[in-house]
Amino acid sequence: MDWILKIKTNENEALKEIYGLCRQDCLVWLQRDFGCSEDDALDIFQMSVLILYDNVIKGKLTTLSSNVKTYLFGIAKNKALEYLRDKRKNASDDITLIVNYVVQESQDDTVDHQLSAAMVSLDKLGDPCKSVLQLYYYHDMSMEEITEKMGYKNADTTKNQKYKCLKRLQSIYSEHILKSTQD
Amino acid sequence: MKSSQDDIDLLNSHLKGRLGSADAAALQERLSIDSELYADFQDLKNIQEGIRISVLKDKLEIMKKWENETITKPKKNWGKWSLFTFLIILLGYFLYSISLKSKQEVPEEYKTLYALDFDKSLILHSTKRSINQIDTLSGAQRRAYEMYSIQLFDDAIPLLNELWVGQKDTLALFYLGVSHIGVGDKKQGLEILQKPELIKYSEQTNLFINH
Repeated sequence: MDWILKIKTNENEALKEIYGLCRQDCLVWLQRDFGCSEDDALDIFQMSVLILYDNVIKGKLTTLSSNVKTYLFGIAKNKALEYLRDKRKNASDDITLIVNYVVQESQDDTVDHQLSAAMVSLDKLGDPCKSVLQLYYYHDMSMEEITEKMGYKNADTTKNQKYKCLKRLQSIYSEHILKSTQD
Repeated sequence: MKSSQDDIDLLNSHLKGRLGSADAAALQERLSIDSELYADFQDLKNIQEGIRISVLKDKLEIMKKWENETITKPKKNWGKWSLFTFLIILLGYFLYSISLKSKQEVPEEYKTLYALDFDKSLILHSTKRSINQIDTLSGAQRRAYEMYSIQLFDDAIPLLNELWVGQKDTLALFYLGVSHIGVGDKKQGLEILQKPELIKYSEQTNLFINH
């Protein structure tokens, strides 16, 4: 099975299959070999699936030299060691977990705060803008691909829509940053 | 965002690593002197990363849903579902038994007729077969009549009905009426037995009608 292709073409179905395929063994393994609690093991497993997904979509993972289970367990092992020695494991909300264990690019609270503001703004923006921007920035789709997916008239309409959405997002984002610095 | 759409496109291309080295160097030069462009670039970087986290958060939500819906619940509710299934089977069996009893019950007033006089009064086709004697019944008639003869009325009814509808077999119609009464459906049975097509069996139909 070409999991990478499947994730790219039918991501939710592929992730669900991988999730079901590896979940039980991985949770047992994390609890037995790393002394994780059941909740910690589940957090680590879910972060590992997210990293696998993120690596495929961002083009960091283009071929699997081992099977998908071995790859996932490799991620889980590193994350378990990191998670257990890290004091940040106590910060258990989803965004902090993703920022700390999946994205791992923020170095300080200011950047964390800005990322959080961007996320909140995106939620406020809502669909279809949110989807258009996710498809463009995260899935790296072309204007033609987004046009087809979103059912727009043509690529020019999509480009225009994307630009307007970005403007609106940036405006919400700036307001959010300004308000939080005043608070 | 104060930059033009072209500049935003340029910044996006840079963030996606799609600028050639000369264009990237030229953009870096502009970023170092144009504070507004630089501010937009920083915003775009944060927005792009925020979008990434937003997608991952959505995926995490989906995983939690799987956890609740398909993985955890069946395990936890195994006992509950087994009990539920058992009760459904029990209820089904109970209803089936009741329906069997109520349907197969011959009405009180006809019990003697069905128990003692059935062969003598209500079997009208020839039941003798031997090497020398070949009856005139078709295979379908024989199957239906035999079911009727041994009072397996539930099995006989669809076969007899087929003979009546398809071949206008009046004996099958008579047997059909008797069979309906035999499974407790007196109303339908009498309706059939009063049909004018059964006039030639009036001696037998009167056993029911004038009872």
